[in-house]
Amino acid sequence: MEEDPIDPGVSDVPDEKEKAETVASSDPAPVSSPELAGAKKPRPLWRRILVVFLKFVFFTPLYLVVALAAFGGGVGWHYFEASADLDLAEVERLEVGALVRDVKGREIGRAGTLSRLLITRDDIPIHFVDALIAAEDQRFYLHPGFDPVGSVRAAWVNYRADAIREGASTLTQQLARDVYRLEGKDADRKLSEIAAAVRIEDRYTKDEILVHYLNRIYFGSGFYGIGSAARGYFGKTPRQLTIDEAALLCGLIPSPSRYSPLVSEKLARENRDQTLRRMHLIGKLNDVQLATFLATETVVARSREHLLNRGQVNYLLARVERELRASLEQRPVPIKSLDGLVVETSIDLEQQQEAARAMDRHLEEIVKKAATAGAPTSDIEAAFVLMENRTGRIVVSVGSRDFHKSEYDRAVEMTRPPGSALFPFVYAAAYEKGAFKPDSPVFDAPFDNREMGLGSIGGILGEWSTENPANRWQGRIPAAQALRFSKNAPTARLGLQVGLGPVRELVAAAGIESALADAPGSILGNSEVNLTEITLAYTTFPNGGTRAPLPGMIREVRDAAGKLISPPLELKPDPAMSANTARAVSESLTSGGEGAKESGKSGTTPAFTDAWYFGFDDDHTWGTWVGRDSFSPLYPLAFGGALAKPLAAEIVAGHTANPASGPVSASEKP
Amino acid sequence: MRIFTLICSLFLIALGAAGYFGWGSEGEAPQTLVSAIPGGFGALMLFGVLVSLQLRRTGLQIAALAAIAGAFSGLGRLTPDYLAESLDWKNETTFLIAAMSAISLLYLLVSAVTAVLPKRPRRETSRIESADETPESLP
Repeated sequence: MEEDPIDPGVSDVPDEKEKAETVASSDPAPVSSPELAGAKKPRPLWRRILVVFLKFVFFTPLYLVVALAAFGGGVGWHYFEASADLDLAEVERLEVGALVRDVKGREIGRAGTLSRLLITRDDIPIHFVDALIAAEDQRFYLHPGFDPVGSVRAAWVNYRADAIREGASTLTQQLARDVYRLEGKDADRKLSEIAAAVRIEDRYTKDEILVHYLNRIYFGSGFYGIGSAARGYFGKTPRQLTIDEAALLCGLIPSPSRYSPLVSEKLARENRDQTLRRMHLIGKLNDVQLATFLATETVVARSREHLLNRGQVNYLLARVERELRASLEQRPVPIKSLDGLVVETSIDLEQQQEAARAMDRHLEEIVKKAATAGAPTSDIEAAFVLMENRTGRIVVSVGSRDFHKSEYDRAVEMTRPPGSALFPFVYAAAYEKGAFKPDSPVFDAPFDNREMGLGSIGGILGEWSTENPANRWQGRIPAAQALRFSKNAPTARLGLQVGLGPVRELVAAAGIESALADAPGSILGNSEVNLTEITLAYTTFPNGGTRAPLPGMIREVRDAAGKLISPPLELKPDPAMSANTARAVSESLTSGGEGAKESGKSGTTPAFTDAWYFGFDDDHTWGTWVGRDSFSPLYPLAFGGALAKPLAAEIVAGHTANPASGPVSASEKP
Repeated sequence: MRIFTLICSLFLIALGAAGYFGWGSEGEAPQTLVSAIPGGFGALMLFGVLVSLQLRRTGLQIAALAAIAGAFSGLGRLTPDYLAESLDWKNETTFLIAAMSAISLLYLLVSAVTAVLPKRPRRETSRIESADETPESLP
């Protein structure tokens, strides 16, 4: 081992001194005298130390830089190689989607396309491009898909602000994320996104990228693409947008669900102003223009009725798409694309929109009552479902007061305690077990509900309290009467005697998939269930003991060639209870007595957090929920009968007056 | 050390050639230069060997830098798969890159060892016999 490339101290050849020596050695009369050998004076110590120090200072960082750069290059190599499998044509491929019709054959819209209105480059005004670039990617026309300069700048700005003020994703990266569904913030996704963005830049021009981006990106409140957003928020085409409107739309891109002007005018305006200032900063607006636009009020020019109606269309399309994709994936050969499909639904669009408006009006009244009672007025929500008893098909389903403000589907996704709305199933279990009959006596007297695990000893359902201020303890009363008047103490006693097991079994057989908790409080409806499944369970009563098939909106699906590919109806489920039990419970729930057309049961939870109402007639069953997203109480004495029942009554009255009578689909024909 | 550098560079070149003309040309995937990358680092090391014939230190520095680049780029290429627990040792590319990193790391290891080993005693005549055997510059 004579030398070492790692050690900066190794000698190189030839240096000046060695050259001199080499020259000397080539002399025809070599001199090897001690004088010459000693001619090379050792360097002074300070100089040797300096040389070692300088070499260390130079070489160590060099090796480190090369090592780091090589490692980074290797990582980039991995991701760039992995991105070679991406189909770049996906960037310009937007699904045509499935045509969705309501029960009367009216077109609701297209599922799977997110209701986009596609635009071309000529449709985008220059000030919109300026606003977009100012807000999202100031070096868009300079970078190759990712922007190291922008990333460093964003990191610096965020560091200075000690908050996330600027994102580092370029427009192309955002497009790649959307096209290839690269969600998440971990390094793996980020690097995949960068590699995909570089490939997109290699394939498409900047203008093409801009158009594809603007056709895809989400602008909040259900509006995908600039065409849809301009129409939805301002009733305009993109070309007609003013600078402040363009700035508002571009300002909401980072968090469209929060910054939508339909959700928060304040946040929308703040982000609009920030975009305007950035436009000013990069020279796209002068001082006067900036001041003018900052002072301008950007008005969302759509009526509340229009937005509610539009919101219901978006909600239905999203719901149908979800249901459709789930059913198509279950086919022996799953169908991935919705393009060209025609979907007939059981929804009545007109009634759906009327139900949303009725819900909006009722909730306005409930908000006023809450304000009068000194309770908070925010986050009061409602949900409603109306389904066919025979088929389980949903005719109306409203999952949110305003879909633009909240896309959370409370009819399907939310679970809440049903309170006394669960009582009919407790009595049904008692009748089924044979321990009780409708005329069996039950004891209505003070009951320490800590036995039910409710924990409270005061309040409307507390120890030694009746469940309604107007009620009195009635002593021994028939079970049917206890159910009719929704008596808590007799129901608790009856439930404890029957046991939780039979109640849970019956409830599951009736279609409630949410498992009731293994606690006595479940008998009084303390376990959470969702509105659609409990509405399905209520179909058991008008159906003579057997629930409807699993609920859904889709009646029929045909492919592009017209071939029927509908999901088959669920086979008739097993009975949850006998016909006698179903009849007995139904009679208790029929306020007009036997022969009345409509039956129903309200439900209230102990702390007045949830108000429910479920009703049914021979053809339909419906359910309503009113409550707060925060799970806090609505206001004192907010009973289901007072809040949810009138709302349900108005919607059902509209339905009864104008029944949905769609054509019988091929899949329904015997 | 120069001989060892030469051997390592030839190994890398052989690896690149085997990757490009062998594994890289198999299957349906189009042949890419990616398989030849080890050969690129090998060629760079060979260049260092050639340079070292005239400028020993500079040449071996070039070889060392090439080895660092080869070792760390290979590690960088394999790390994401390793972290995702999707490293497939039966995959030819994985093997190729791992071999490239291993050879480069071995070269760096040997180089580092020579740096800490005691230097050979200086020969009085070495300076005038051969330009390759110069005295050590460090004390």
